[in-house]
Amino acid sequence: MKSISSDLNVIEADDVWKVYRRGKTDVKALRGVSFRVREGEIVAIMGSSGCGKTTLLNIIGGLDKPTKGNIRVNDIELSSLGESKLTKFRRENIGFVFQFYNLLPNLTALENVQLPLIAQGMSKKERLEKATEFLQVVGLSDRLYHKPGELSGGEQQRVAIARAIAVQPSIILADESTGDLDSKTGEEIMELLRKINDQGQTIIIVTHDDMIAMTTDRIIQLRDGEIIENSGS
Amino acid sequence: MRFGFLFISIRDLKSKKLKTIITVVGIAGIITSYLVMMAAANTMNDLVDETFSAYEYRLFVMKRGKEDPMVSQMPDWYVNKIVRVVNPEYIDGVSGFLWWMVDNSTSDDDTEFLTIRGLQVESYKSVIEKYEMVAGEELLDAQKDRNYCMIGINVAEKYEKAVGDTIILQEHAFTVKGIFTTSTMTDSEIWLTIRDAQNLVGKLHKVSLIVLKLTDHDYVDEVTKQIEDNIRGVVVFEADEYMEANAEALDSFRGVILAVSMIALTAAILGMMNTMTMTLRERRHDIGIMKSVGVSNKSIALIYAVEAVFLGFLGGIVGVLLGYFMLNVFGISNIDLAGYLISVNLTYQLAFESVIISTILGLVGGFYPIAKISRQRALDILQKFG
Ligand SMILES: Nc1ncnc2c1ncn2[C@@H]1O[C@H](COP(=O)(O)OP(=O)(O)O)[C@@H](O)[C@H]1O
Ligand SMILES: [Mg+2]
Repeated sequence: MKSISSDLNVIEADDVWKVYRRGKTDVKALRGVSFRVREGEIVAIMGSSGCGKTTLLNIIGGLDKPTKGNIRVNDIELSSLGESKLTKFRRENIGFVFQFYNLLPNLTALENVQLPLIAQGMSKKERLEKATEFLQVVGLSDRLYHKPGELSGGEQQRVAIARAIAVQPSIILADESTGDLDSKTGEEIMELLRKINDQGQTIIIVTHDDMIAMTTDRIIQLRDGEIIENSGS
Repeated sequence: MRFGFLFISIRDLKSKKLKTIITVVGIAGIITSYLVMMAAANTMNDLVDETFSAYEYRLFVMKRGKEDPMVSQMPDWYVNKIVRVVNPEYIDGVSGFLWWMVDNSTSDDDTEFLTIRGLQVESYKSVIEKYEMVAGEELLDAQKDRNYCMIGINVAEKYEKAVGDTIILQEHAFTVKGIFTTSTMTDSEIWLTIRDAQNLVGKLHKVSLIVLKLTDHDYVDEVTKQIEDNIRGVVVFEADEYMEANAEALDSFRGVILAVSMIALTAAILGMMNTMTMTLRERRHDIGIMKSVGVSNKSIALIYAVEAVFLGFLGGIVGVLLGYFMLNVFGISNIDLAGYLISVNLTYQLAFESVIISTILGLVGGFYPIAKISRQRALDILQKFG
């Protein structure tokens, strides 16, 4: 465990349920999930396909709301927030890296990274500097003016990571961000995330890859919407 | 709302050049037809207003039961009788006219009517208000001016006739003695002496309309009574009321123009709605991503509202230019309405209004699809896509 990780809880989930209605049947994607994540931790969420990983990540990130239960992130109770408050919450607290569809295809890497910075109302000069800086962090200094179509899958994910970290959010959520990449590129992305984590940001990654999960502080194992294991690696 | 996102609007429009062009051309086409129709309607309105105001203080006397100057027929001595029976203090002038239309069509496709008016040369100037000579001289002498005519400026322009040229009417040649302008519908008429007119249509000693000019509007009732009591079988109208009542054709014409314009604008709004719905469907995933990284609904709505407004605005500009070319370069600016030549003018005001309308139309058409998608949750948008 790294020294940076503190005793302060940034995520507190208590008996979180998510039930989707699909026609006449209910799909219980999460069944009473409870856990804590401390500031500065890097946590892996694992489990077979359809066990509720994405659902959980979306709820933590304020993209979705629990059907029942409480979810506190940075001391904000998300289950009671309306849509525009949730948008503001995401803008100020969360950096997302999805598996697919991360980038706007008509915008350059530099412009894509600037999106959340514009949303925060940062001046043009400042956000240009920031975006350039973080693209450099992810090793894409020579790809600033490329559009997603002109970048490889790994490069696109790195742009997405640069966008997620550019606002310096307290929490970064990565949903199978390495799943679509070859193992070497996946490992590079992981290294990047760990480097960011070393700066003190809390990171939660959803992954299938045991090798990747091994390098995190903790693994939360899900099965059918329930936590079956929650342990340090 | 963040204006920093507006570069995305421009990027989107650029990335879909063909679609942008098609949308702009579509809107432009509608705006052009709107513009040309409105220009025609406005020009007609002005002309009718002018014509009406030229007939203030005037009374029309016509044959009862045939209350149409083209059809009405009365003996021309009624003119003298009116002068005798009406209190002379009440009137400035009395004159009889013989009016009719000549079919001047050269073929079935090309229907053209000329309005011909016979003048009592000794008195017509006392009742026709606004006319000015543009060239040549007036008809003044019943004897000397036989086989001469005066033509309105529209006739002169349309048939390219100058003073001294001949015009053939029902196989009789008339020499143009003068060209006049009134800035009213009268500019599309040909004037002859009444004797020539009577001979030409075989209505010897007849007039179709007698016009009185009053010294004051207050005398209308009194004069009407004096005439109707003393001359049997005639009706008296106030000229402007008569013309207004008979402007039904114009009214329905204007009604049709208005209805067609409204249909065109509605079509434009629906077209815009369709375009924006398609655009937003293509941009679903962009919108979902922007929302998930914390871009507000308002900022997203602004991006696409600017696109819609831009398309409307550009469509308006192109439409006005197209309309200008159609009217001025291809020369369809002269509309022949049953012998009245109307020259359609594109005013700056109408051009400006059309661009504004087109812009608003873009916004209105874009409003519903934009409002609909910008209110959806990021996750719902992304999941539907992925
Ligand atoms: N929007 C939705 N509507 C209905 N069912 C859903 C929806 N999203 C997820 N599910 C269901 O919830 C369960 C958990 O899904 P998810 O969280 O995506 O799993 P994972 O990410 O672990 O593969 C699955 O059975 C999935 O089909
Ligand atoms: Mg998933």
